[in-house]
Order: sequence, then structure tokens, then C-alpha cells
Amino acid sequence: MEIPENRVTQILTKRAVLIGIAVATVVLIVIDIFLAVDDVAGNTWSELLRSAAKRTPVVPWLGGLVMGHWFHPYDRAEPWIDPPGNWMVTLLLTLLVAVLGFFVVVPPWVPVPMGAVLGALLWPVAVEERTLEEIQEAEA
Amino acid sequence: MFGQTSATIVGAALFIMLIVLDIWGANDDLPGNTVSEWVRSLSRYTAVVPWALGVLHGHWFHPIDGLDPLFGARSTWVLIGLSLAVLVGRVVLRNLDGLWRPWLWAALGALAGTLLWPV
Repeated sequence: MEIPENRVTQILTKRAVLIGIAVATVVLIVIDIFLAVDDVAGNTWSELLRSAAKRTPVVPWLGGLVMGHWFHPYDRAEPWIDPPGNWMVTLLLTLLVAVLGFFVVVPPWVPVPMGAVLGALLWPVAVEERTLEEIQEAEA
Repeated sequence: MFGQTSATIVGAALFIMLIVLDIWGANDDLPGNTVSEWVRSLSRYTAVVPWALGVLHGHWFHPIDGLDPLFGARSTWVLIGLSLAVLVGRVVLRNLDGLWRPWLWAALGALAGTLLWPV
């Protein structure tokens, strides 16, 4: 296994990604506070997300999907359908939810648990605890 | 300055940036450097991560429009107190591993976000 020698892979270490997440979170919060205190009504992330969620069930569906992806019950979970089948089913169901939104009014909370179950079954994240050196050793 | 459209564009751009980072991290050979892996990894050491994201989901996607916080203006402080309790609880009760399931704290967070901080 070789790390591609380019600038991005040199930058994207675990620590850099953690710092990136922290910075993005802080930026989001600071902008949201700014939006909350300005004179424009209804322009905070929360108000916009709530409003979008009432227009299309895809917004809360995607939120639930990501929650299931991250917080599924088993650390070493495998998707119920092998890739790329899991991606195709997920994409198909997401499109179905998007289309459904044109014909049916779906309360914003309903797609969240449904998306979470699907995310846990078809797209569970698995955490690799080993370092690159340990993986290379095991594969050698 | 920031209207609804510009705020939406900035939010979407940040979201897309995270997705691109995640895909990039997933396709290189360095282990454990995607956003998802970090979130999952962190959620095993502190329940605050799934709790906070659950709170946000409850905050955004609660069932009733115009829902008022359960304890009025004090609800924010109750929520901050509960979040601190979750943060400290993980350290104090670290031996009760069965208690600290990420999905459980995400679900409880969603309930707290709905009752104490509905948008």
C-alpha cells in the first residue's frame, strides 16, 4: 500500500481533518450568531433548515441518513448489501423520497428515524484503529 | 447583509466542502482520516458528539410548528446543564460502557432538542 505523493494526501492527516471539523463548526456557529442578531428575519441556518424540511422530506432524510451512518450500534458493522449495491439502493430510496415530497406532505420529523435506520443498515462507518504502518505490516 | 439566499449558499458551500473532504479522505490510503471516521471515533470517547448532533436534529426537525420550549426561557440553561452532565457523566461513569451507546445519546439528544430548543 502506497500513499499517493501529492500535496493533499500530505495535508489530510487525521489531526488535520479533526482541526478542519473544529474550525468548520466554529465558523458555522459564529455565522449563525451573526445571522440571528442581524435585521433580516428567518435567515439563520436553523430557520432555513426547518423551512427547507417542510418543503421537501429529503432534507431531514439526509440528516437521518448521516446520523445512522455515524452512530449505528456496532463498531465493526458491515453494510447489509455489498457495495456498490448499498449505494444504489440508498440513492434510489433518496430519489424516491425526493419525488414523494412533490405529492405528499411529510412532517419534518418522520424521515429522520427512517433515514437513520437506512444509514445504519446500508452505510455504517467503520473506524480503522490501525496506523498505516500496522496495515502495511499485516499485509506484508 | 446576509439574506436567506446568501445564507443558504454559504451553508450549502460549507456542507459540500465537508463532503468533498470526506470523499477525498475515503479514497486515499491513510487510515481513519475521513470526517465520518473522526465523528464515529470521537463518539466512542465522549457522548457529547452524538448528543449535540441529536439536539440539533430535534431542534430543526421537531414535529410541531410553533412549539414552545418546555421550561420557557430557562430551557436553554436546562439544555446546557444536561449537555455538561453528559460530558462529565462519560468521564465519571466510564466503567459503565453499556450505557454509552452513540445511538442512544443521539436519540436522547433529539428528544432534548425537541422539548427544550425547538426552532
